[in-house]
Parts: sequence; C-alpha cells; structure tokens
Amino acid sequence: MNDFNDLIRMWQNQSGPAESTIQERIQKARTQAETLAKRVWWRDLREIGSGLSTSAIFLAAGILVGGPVLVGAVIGTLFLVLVTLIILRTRLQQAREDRLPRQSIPEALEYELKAVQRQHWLLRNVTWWYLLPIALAIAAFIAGVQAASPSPDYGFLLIYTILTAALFILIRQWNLSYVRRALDPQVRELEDLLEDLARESRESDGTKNPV
Amino acid sequence: MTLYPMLWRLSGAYTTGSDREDLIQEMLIAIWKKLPEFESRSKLTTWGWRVAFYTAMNWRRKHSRKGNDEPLEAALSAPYPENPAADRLEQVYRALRHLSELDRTVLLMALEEIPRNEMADSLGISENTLQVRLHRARRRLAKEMKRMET
Repeated sequence: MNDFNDLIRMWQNQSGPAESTIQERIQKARTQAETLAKRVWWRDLREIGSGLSTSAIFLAAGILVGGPVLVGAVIGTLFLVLVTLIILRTRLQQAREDRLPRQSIPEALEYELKAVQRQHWLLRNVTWWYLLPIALAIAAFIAGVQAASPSPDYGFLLIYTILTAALFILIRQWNLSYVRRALDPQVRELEDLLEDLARESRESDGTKNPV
Repeated sequence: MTLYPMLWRLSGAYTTGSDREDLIQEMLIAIWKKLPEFESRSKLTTWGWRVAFYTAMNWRRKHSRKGNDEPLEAALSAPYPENPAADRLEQVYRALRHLSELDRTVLLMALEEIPRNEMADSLGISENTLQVRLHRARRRLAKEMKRMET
C-alpha cells in the first residue's frame, strides 16, 4: 500500500446499504434482541421452576404418605434445592460480569477467556454438580417409596437404574464432546492471542525508532 | 462515522456473503443489549464500534472451523459495494480476512480513524507500541495484497 491515507479515504467513502434497509435491519435486530431476552428469561424460569416444583411434589407425597417416603422426599428435595442454587448462582454471576465495562481489548479477551473457562469447567463437571444431585434426589425419593411398600419391586428398580445411568452417561458424553470440539480450541486461541499481545508489547517497548 | 456503514465495513473484514449479514445482525443485537450501559464518556459511534468489534472477534472464533472466506463467486455477488473502487476494496477486505487478529484489529481502527490515544487505550498499550504495531500491520497488509495480485 503506497499511501495509507488514500486507503483510509477509500475505506470511509465506500457505499453502504440503502437507508430503508438500515431501518429494517435495526428494527429486526431490536425484535431479535427482545425475543432472545424473553427466551433466556423463560429458560431460566423453566429450569429453576422444574427443580422447585419437583421438590414440592416430593414433599407433598412425603407428607401425605409419611414414614420412609417423607425421609426420601426430604433428602431428594435437599439435592434438588442444591442444583437450583448452583444454577441460580451461575446465572447471577454471569449477569453481573456482563454488566462490567471492559475498557481495553486485552481486558475483553481476558473476560472472554474466563467466561469460556467457566463454561468449560461447568460442562466438564456436569456429572458432579448437575446429574449426580438430580439422580440422588430421585433415587432418595424412590428408595423411600420402596421402603414404605410391603413388597419392593426390584425389577422396576433395576430397569430404572439402568435407564437413568444410560441417559446420564449420554448427557455427560455429549457435554464432553462439545468441550473437546468447541471450547478447547477457543481456550487455546484466546490464550495464544493474549500471549501474542503481551509478547508484541514487550518487543515493541524495546524498540527505539520503530517507523 | 455513522454506525451502520461502519458495521458494514467492519463485518467485511471478518466474513462475506450471507455470513456478513448474520454478523451485522449480531453486532446490532449486541449494541442494542448494551445500550443501557453507554456512558457519554466517548462518542456513541466509537463505543458502538468497540461493542461491534468484540462481537466480530467472538463471532470469528466461534465460526473459525467453518473457514472464514467464501468462494470467489459469492464474494463477487455481494450486493452492496458498488463504486469504482470496489475491486480494490474487495482486495483490501480479502487481505484483512487473511491477516492475524492483531494486525486486523490495528488496521481496522486506523481505517476508521479512531484517535491514536483511544486506539492505544483499547489495546492496552502505549502509543509508541501502537506505532510499531501499526507499521508492522500496514507492511503485512501490503504484502498480503501483493501476494493476492500474483
């Protein structure tokens, strides 16, 4: 490029889309943003609501039947409340960090890296903070029901255990595959980029007459 | 600079064709969502550029496995850039898409004539370092464009 100023002029003078198209696009973007916000709100409500309503069903059944069912229901509820609190904490933390002003590109990259790493941790450990507490909650309730029954149905218990285990293994593998396929490369790229920024800054600061 | 043409220019440095339309849409959504956070310390367009730029960087990272360049026919059939310098501009866009993230960032800021002190602040570096980085980026852009001509 012989004259960078010519390039700047050419760059800034290029024609864009027509005004009507711009207005349409802004309107469309606004609608999409509002729809997305509503969807996220409903999704959060659904996840938290399903945990709390299942807890309510467990407790209601426990109180009605009493005895071992109540013990199972209380233990199950405690696990479900634990999962709900973890989900709520993650959402609140994300919302709080989204509001933080990011002044420079390195800061934005570091924020992005932390967000990807957090997502990475959550998905990699989905068994421990999500699947296992839910499995234990349901298992505690079923154990209570079976203990209250005069003749426990071992066949049902076996089929239930196999199906639940298969479903949870599938969910876990799905999450791990996403981590390997999408998040690992993102973490590497962000780390490389931050390293490049730091390296170039170090090198440039040591240069006396750069241009 | 007005916001929409600026988003149009910025998005072209990351992708082409229908992906470019999608990226602009994402940029607009990001700006719309972050608008309540805007404080009048900088110009709205400069702030908007920054939000759009972060969106573009993230977008590229998430879509990098798909490849960041469309076939030539798709690039030629892009609807908007219709002026005498369109070919030259298309070459600049293609070169920008092939440069590293760092070079592209500095060049895009320089092309939008973002003040040097704001550029340095955004990159978290001194103005001296910025000068070096800009010099290198311009050299790599020229090299890339030359390579494309041959």
